Amino acid sequence: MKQDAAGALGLLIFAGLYLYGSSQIPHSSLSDDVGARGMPYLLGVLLAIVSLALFVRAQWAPARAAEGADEEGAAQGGSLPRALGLLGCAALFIGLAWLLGYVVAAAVLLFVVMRYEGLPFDWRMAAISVGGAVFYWLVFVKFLGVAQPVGLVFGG
Amino acid sequence: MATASQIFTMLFATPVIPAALVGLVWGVIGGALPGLSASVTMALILPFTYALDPVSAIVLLASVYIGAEYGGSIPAILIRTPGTNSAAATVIDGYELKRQGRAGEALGVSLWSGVVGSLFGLFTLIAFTEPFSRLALAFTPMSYCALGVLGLSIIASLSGGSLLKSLAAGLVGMMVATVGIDPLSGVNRFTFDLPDLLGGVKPIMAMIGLFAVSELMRQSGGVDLGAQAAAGVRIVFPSWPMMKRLFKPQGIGCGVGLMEGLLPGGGGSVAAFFSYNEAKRWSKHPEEFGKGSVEGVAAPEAANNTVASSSLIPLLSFGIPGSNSAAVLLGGLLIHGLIPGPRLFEQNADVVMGLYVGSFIAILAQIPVGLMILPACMWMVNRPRPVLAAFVFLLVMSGVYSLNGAFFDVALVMGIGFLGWLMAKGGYPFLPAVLGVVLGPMVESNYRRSLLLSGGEHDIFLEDAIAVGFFVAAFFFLAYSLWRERMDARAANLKEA
Repeated sequence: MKQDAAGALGLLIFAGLYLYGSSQIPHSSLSDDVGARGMPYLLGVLLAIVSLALFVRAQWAPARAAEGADEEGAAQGGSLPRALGLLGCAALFIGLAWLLGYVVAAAVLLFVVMRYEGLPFDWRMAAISVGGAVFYWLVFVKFLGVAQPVGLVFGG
Repeated sequence: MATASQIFTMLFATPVIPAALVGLVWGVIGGALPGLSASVTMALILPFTYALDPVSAIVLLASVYIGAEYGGSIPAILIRTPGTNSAAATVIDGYELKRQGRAGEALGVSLWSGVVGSLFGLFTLIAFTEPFSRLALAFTPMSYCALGVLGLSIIASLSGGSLLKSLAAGLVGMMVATVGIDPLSGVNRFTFDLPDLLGGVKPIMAMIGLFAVSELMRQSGGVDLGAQAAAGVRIVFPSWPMMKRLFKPQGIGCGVGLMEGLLPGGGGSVAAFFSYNEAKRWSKHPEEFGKGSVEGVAAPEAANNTVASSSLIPLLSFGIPGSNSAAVLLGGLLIHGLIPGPRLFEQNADVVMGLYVGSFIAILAQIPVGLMILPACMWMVNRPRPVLAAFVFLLVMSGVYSLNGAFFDVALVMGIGFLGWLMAKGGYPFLPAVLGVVLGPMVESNYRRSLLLSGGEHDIFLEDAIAVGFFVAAFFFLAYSLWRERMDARAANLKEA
């Protein structure tokens, strides 16, 4: 229930920020009666109402079986640090791909994610990372002709 | 004769056959990997369809869906872990059969029932879609606006869990859809002066982020299942007497699958469990269910494979996807500028024909591909989870970058994935959010066009009978969902007391 209330509060804050953002949308002389602000305003108000209803229910309604099922499903997910860790891995990939290109970034990403997900380090893991990166590069860039980052260092 | 010639040309002058086979193989492998649902398997390959011609792209995605529904039963039978949600019912008797040393027989029944279900589903898809879509010819902008509202209401009502949470998810999805240049006035909305946001957030980004990235985050740090699929299992195809015995449970599965596919939000897992119960109720040997019944494998497999095709009926007719996987297929259509509805059948008849032909090929190829690919699937299932996670993660990164060659897209999809992770934690369903992104522009543009037609008067919605019907239906679905939630809560409280 606490989690539901926190989620509802988060949604309410988001709705408020969205409404503020919609009020900043410039007016256009080409605009129709509803205008570019109309739908965002309506959506913001509706989300605020729904999130308030969610908050009220989380605070005062008795525990429910359906909610229990929701929370059971939610409890199966990984932790916040782990999710943020994967975001960090993605940031590392973007940085390396921008600088050194796809193959290097892909090899590092494979290695880091395998290690991060708990695979103990050995040379086989390094070989899988390099081999996997080259395999993906061959499939995407050479076989399918799908563009991947070249890297600043290599003239990208 | 003209149709036969068209099919012949399509088969031999276009890459329909390779697309169907590649999609099927990828679908079976993806479905066989626990943690990759059919929609995630489709979402992973979605960016790569960007470079394909529309027919090949749609055939590829539809074939992945067909393959994944069968693939999900492989780990369900071999290691008691469903590869996809809809294979959960197959675990009950499939794994019991494996314990009795009849894994090959269970896999054979699953494969055969999948083919039967898929063929039935394809037949209903061909029979119902075009007549349904003709209804949409009478639609006005008011009707389309109301249809969008109805679609969101149905999904919010039937996607399970709390109605309020589903509505909130749908609204957030619609908010995401407002990012970019307003198509009517040309004004920038929520772009924060970033050129990459001028085109808005494409539905494909939302799908990959919510379905694939959030799933990786959810599973991060999870333990390996430890169970290893025994090597050397071979599929034993059902004999004629066995096929006759399976006819009734397969028929039940097909009927249930058709109904669940037509009803948005139902999905393959509901159909599978419902058909399992019905097959048990109508069986001559109900005592065998749960102890290794082949009928207990046949019914759910026929049901979830039927759903793979029948859930495309509301998608192609009205643009309302009935499941996560159908939503990803809609993403594939939108990438190529294809709008579901009657005009799809008039202006892009080749795509529709390609979908039918390609799906038929994929269904028939299920048997040889299923037989040949089993060792590869078992090898994949036995890989350590961290290795699979790393390769899937790289596939997501590579796929998203390839869309526009922009790192911004990769960062955006990761952000959406994190939002999806938060939603999953809070028990907010994804499908209403995805549908909000897809249907948001349709609702807004038709709402504004309606008011332009009426000079700003909302009465115009009441003058359109179809729109009124859709709004009433939307109200009914929301009211029913609220009532059901109250009843569930009351029953739970009584039980506790």
